[in-house]
Amino acid sequence: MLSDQTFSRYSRQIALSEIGEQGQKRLLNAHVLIIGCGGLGSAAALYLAGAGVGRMVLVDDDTIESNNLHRQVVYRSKDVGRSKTKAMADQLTALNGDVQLRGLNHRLDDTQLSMEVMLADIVLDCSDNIETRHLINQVCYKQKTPLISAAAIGWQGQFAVFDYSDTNGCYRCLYPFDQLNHDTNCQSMGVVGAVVGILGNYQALAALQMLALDEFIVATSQLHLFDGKTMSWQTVAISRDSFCSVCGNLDNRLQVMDEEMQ
Amino acid sequence: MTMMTITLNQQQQDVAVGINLREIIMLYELPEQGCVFAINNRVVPKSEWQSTQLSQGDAISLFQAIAGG
Repeated sequence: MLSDQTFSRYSRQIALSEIGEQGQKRLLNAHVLIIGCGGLGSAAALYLAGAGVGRMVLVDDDTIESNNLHRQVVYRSKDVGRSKTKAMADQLTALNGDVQLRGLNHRLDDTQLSMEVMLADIVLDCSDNIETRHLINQVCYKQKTPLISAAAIGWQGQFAVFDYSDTNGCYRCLYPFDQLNHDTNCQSMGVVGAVVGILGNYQALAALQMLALDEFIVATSQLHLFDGKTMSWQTVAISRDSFCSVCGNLDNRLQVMDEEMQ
Repeated sequence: MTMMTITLNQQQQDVAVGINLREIIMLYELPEQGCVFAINNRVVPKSEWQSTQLSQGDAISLFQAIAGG
């Protein structure tokens, strides 16, 4: 049973027939790993804390700069120079003191990431580089932990949910390369704050589905492409690549490794 | 040579019947690094570019991977 105080606090989402008291209890017991505390993480973490997610682990090795503030809206002007994980934890605690927060103020290696993923019900990839994205996908695939991935640059955003069921493609099936075409990062290209916010909110929404309802309603292994100029979405299905180095058939994976070694 | 019409990023193009996706990428000198190709809103894995033959009316879209957060 939820206490009267707790029931009242979350009453407007408990009122949703799909969520109800049962869903709220699931949220209060949920554990989310958020990797990257930039624009995506700002939006996603605020909504998840608001919704009453029980535990969140925040990972980022960066400190706040003034040029982050137009899009990383969880931070205040006075936070410039502070560690992102610490400042975010403070803001989330101010929003909802019931959420247990743990910040990791450094990049995780393979082993640490595996440990953190093991503890989590769901992982949000809010990172800003493709190497980290591939590592997160690999670890989540191994542990079959659902991964909610998003990215944004300029006026564009991308969003996909990976549940690693047998026939679905993974992040590496979609992007089987370790480098991007050109400098597609926020420093060189610029990024619209509201665009990255929309993508972070998509991540929070998908996480709420999985955590409160115990399943995704949104279709998985679909890449959603957002154009912030026309404000329209396009969706493409992510096919499983039988030669994928993460989730492909073992024989094919060995063949790919052989070719790479030669 | 028998031709057919496809669309490439919403532009109509006449191409030879039987052409595959790898040949299309070479023919139009499309960027490969960091790029993904979808036919009729389904991503075609790189390992299947060669074996994926285009059909009349197919719509190819290409987009760049992005990683900003």
